[in-house]
Amino acid sequence: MKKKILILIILLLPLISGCNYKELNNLSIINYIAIDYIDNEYLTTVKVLNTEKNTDNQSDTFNGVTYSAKGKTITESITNISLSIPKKIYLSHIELLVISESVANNKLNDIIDYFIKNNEVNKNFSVLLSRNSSAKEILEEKELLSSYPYGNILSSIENSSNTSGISSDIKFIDLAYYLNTDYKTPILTTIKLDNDKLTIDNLAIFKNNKIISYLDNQYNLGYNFMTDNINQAIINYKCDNDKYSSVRLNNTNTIIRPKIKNNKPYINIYITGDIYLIENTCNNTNTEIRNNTSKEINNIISNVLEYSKDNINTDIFNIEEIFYKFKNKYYNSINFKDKYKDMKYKIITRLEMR
Amino acid sequence: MNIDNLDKTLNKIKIECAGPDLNIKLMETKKIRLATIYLETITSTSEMNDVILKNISDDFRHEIKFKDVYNYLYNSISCGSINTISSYKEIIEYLYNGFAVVLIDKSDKAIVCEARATLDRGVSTPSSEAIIRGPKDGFTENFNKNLGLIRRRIKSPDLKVIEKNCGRLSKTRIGVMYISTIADKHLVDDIIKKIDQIDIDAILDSGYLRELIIDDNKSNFPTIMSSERPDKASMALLDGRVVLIFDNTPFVLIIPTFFIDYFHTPEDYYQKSNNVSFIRIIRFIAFFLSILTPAIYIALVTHNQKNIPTGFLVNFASQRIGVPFPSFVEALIMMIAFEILRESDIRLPSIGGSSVSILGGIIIGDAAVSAGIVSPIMVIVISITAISSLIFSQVDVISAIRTYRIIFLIAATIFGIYGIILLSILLIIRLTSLEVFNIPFTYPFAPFNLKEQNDTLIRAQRKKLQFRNFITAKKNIRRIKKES
Repeated sequence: MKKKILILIILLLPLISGCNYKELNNLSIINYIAIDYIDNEYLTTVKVLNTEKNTDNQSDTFNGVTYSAKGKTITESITNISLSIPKKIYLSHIELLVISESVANNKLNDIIDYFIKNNEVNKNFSVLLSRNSSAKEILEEKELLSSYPYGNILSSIENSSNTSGISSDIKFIDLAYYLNTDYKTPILTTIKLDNDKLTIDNLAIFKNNKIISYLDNQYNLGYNFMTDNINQAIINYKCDNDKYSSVRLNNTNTIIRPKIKNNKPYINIYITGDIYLIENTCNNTNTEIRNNTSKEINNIISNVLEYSKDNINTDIFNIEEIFYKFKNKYYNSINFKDKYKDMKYKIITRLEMR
Repeated sequence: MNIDNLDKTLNKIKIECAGPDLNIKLMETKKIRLATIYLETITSTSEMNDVILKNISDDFRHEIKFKDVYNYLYNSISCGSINTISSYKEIIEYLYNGFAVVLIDKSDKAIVCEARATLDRGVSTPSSEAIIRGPKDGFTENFNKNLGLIRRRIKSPDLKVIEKNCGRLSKTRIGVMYISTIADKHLVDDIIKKIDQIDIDAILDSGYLRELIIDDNKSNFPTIMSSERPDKASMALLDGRVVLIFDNTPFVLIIPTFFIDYFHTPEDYYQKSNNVSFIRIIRFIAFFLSILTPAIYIALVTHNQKNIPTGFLVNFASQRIGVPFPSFVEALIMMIAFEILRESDIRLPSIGGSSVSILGGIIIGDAAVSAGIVSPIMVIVISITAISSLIFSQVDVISAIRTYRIIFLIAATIFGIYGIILLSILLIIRLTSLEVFNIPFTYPFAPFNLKEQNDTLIRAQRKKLQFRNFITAKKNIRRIKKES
């Protein structure tokens, strides 16, 4: 009896584990993928990591090779790509998805759907929007090709979003979540080809699955302040006629407290952080530095808030969610999207010199 | 059979014990006839000549005038271990134990006196359990010496030894040692009962008894520890455990043994506690490394490629290019190659040892990689595994680890990480259900005992190790007496 049960368990085990044996040297590891939508067809481009040993020159770089193919669906286009790749396409290590403007405007939901439902794909890759050129062109750019394992545009996005707060690293899983939630506004970092150099461009703002606006680079820092997406930032302020000073903000934290005043939404924005002095050209005192920095942060945030209220009338900072969570009764009684324009705010900074 | 007829008895012995080493010295006067019989090979020649034969022949020279030859001889032979026997069967027994037998005509009693040759080496450093700081003496093949080495450490009448003979032909002496004021008498009785039940032709090493004494022999892990170190045996005795010492083998058995014992060395107790705690944790890490490293590597590169960073994956993949075998076969080749190398290194006389290691090192480490048979990462994986397993001094543990390593490797090949986790659960179930003489093998982890934890993964300071092992020590539980 014991033996019978043991044999039964052994026979059943492959069903549980999936038995997905695959040798490493039979895989084409894809790390970048680009999707265009041209003439009602997808044009998918993938960059395969080159795992062949580079025996000619002693460098350790792993040059990638790009392949592209067309198809009515993304699956079909990827199947077509596999005709030209000798090994099995392996999508578990995608680091970057580039989509063109036409895809973003027409097929964004379908693409999200494909990647969500494909259980082989990891969900934590960055998504970039190619604004002026096709996604394929971005992927075929040399800078992206010959980069691994050195830094490239991807690491520069990550770095600048981590250390200076002037760009945002949007992950696929966040984008998918934002797109499927009513009170959140999806955004995407855009990338552009400028004289054969890849540069990070404005943030694209979506509304109803369409791009409605691009947020200028000057608003990026404010956007990141508002969404508490910042850990470290550099603030430059004018301290004299044509003299500027720089401070570094560390451990910044943003808390938005919702309030109702005269049946209108009202928010208090609390900003805390530590100031580290970098450049002090005017020999200011500590109090002056603190006041100037506070003033500058006030400026940055109110600029982006005013822009979002007046120019695009879209709540890009997910303030709606805060009201939904903390003032639910009030939120249900009004249409927040209409009231957003009338929202008042107050910025309170609590900074400390270190 | 009666032994009062000298000629008859001698003839019988001559036929039965015929051999080049049988020595019979016959002495005759008008009144008395007597014969001294001994086996040259197992008796000490000087002892025979200088003491026993000299005694007897001196008596002859002075013409024994007493009527009772037997009584006279018994008192005059200057030998400490002297005995009287009266049956033919006993003569043979003593003869083969290295005694000289003095037969007297027309007497129904014979005298036996010990003249055993020391057929063993002196006390030397134990070769299998080397330590740096601590006593360097080890057990030998001599029962009495082994007993003496322990008696030297525990000078108390409480240290009891019950001697048993085991093996129909070998008549091996087995000493069941315990401290009567600490150990559990039931355990001692159980062990003696088990030894009495054994009916085997010979016991040539303690390994024979170890397998015979346990009911459940399916476990790969050794549930009874053998040791060459008298200090380790004494520690076990002080813990209330039972130590079996043997004639003809330097390896004593320690009953019961716990899983954690294999991670401890006697040296742990001679050094600063903090440093020892660190090395004990290292031993645990090495234990898991040596079992799991190949399995985890195989699982990662054949099933769970998702779970490694891209940089690693590219690195692994580029190393696998051109290797003709599946990863599993590659790992198996390397493991077998290492085991062959290790085995030959042990068996080979030390003259050839270095050449084997150089040849093996070059072939496995370098040539196999450049020939494209194995990938460099596999060499690293197997090396880590092999080195980690060598941290244990017990050969049994190394063998058990090797077996589990291969089982885990197969599970990883078929089921990936899932298989490894499943098998780990099974292994834990197996280990925790092991019992030797009704004492749980994984104590003090399962069943858990908090008080005992100060001497498991870490070692607390000597002052804090106040208690003996709670499961084995039944009486006198305090090791350090309370200050009054």
